[in-house]
Amino acid sequence: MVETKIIAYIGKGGTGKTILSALTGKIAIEKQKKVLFIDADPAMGLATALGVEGYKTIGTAREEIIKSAKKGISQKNDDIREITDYVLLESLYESAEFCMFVMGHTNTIGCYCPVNSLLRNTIKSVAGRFDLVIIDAEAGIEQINRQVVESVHYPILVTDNSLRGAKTTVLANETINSSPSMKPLKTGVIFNRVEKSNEDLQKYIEDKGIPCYGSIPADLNISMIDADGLSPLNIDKTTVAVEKLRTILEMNDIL
Amino acid sequence: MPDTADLQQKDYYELIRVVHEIAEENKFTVYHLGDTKICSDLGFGSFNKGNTCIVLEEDTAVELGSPQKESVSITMWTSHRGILSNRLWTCGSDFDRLIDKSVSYIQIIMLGFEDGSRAVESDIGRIKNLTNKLPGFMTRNMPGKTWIRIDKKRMQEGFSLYALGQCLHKAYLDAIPDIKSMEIILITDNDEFIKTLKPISEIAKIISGDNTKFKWVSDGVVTCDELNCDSCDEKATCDSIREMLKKRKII
Ligand SMILES: Nc1ncnc2c1ncn2[C@@H]1O[C@H](COP(=O)(O)OP(=O)(O)OP(=O)(O)O)[C@@H](O)[C@H]1O
Ligand SMILES: [Mg+2]
Repeated sequence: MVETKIIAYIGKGGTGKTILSALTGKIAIEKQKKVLFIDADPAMGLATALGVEGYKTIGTAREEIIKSAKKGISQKNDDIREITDYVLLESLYESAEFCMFVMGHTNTIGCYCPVNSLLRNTIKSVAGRFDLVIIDAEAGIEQINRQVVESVHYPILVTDNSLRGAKTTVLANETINSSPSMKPLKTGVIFNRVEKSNEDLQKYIEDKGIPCYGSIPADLNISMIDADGLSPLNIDKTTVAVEKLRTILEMNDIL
Repeated sequence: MPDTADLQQKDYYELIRVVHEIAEENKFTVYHLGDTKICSDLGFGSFNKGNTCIVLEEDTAVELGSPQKESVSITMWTSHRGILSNRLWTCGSDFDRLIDKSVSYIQIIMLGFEDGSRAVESDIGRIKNLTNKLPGFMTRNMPGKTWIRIDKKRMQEGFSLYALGQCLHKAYLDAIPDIKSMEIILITDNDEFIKTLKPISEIAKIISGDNTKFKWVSDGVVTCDELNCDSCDEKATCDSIREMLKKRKII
């Protein structure tokens, strides 16, 4: 059985969660790791970036499970579990390089806690087959915690050199720490798209007890990939952003 | 409350007769069920408890009845004597001869009971899931559909329709010793049979639904303690699921 590591990128909008998720996958795939991406952002940016199409979202799968539970008030719980196993595997995008779950619109109002826990359990058993699970999250960890996985080993907070970014980071960290089921092994911050992290902001973050992993500069190759709509998995592996990210992940025993 | 005992007694006898007619009119290879040696040679038995075995696409050698292909899966029982005689009927290319890695699939399981009330629908439906029972083999079931993946290692070590039939037979006998006789039909990659058997599967679903209706019991997998649901649009449905779980002492 493989020991699965779960990473989640969290941070203010537009700071680089999606690109860093993709690049982390690229680095891991090069190391022959089996990678499962989870696109937990309803905007489905990671799926788009990696050219993943024709998937069934977990949101849709969830609706189907609920529908079958509604229809068959006669359904045994074990039967609902079988249906969950089926539709979840159906939702798993599988390619030679990597696999992916796309959460999609998970309709946070209709919570269906029982179905959520069932799905979480099933996601966990699928995730257990991979070396690395990379979650591209929205700003909050709450939704990951509720709908994706109970715990994340390595929450990576992404920020830019803005005070708002730093504040979001600190808030996100507080949420992680106050969530009883979250048992991170290590949390840290990456400053993205900056030549050098702003010292005041870095101090502000470190004073709250969150280590700063380092910074990743603006990278022309990323902009080019962006402009041409290419998959970040095809980016030159010696480009500065990839090199920096690899160092950060290796230094912190994340990869 | 409707009379559940009565609902339970809906026998699939008529449907089984129709299936028999279809089978006898067509070219099938027929074997005898009861080869337990091949099951033990394959390592059949409970293993890997608690963690659902998943065969990923890249490890898959043979895929049957996936959501992209057609699948018909029927489980039926009867307490009429003498119509089932431990036969395994197979039709279509065997697993090592399939032209495509992923093909359509039909699986019909027919069980003979002395006493029909012993046949608890959803139990007999679930036993056909050989995940975690047969190494390198994964089943996913939806009502009326069975999706199977057989991994490369399993195929290298040898596997066939015959072997699958024997394992299914053993799974049923192990789980329900009351079974008196059994027949299994396995068909790969055949659109004609899909067309013929789909309607039968629909009828079987209705009978099965009637039979299960008031006979469900649950076992625990879910909890609900994390959210405040008072403002939720879907509260009514959620509550009814929860009520069911509570009744069954799950939450
Ligand atoms: N180091 C970098 N160098 C150059 N461009 C970058 C870098 N990091 C991110 N970008 C670009 O910035 C934009 C925003 O990045 P990205 O989409 O990864 O952020 P995000 O946090 O996922 O945003 P959202 O919250 O909208 O999902 C993208 O166009 C991305 O390619
Ligand atoms: Mg994004």
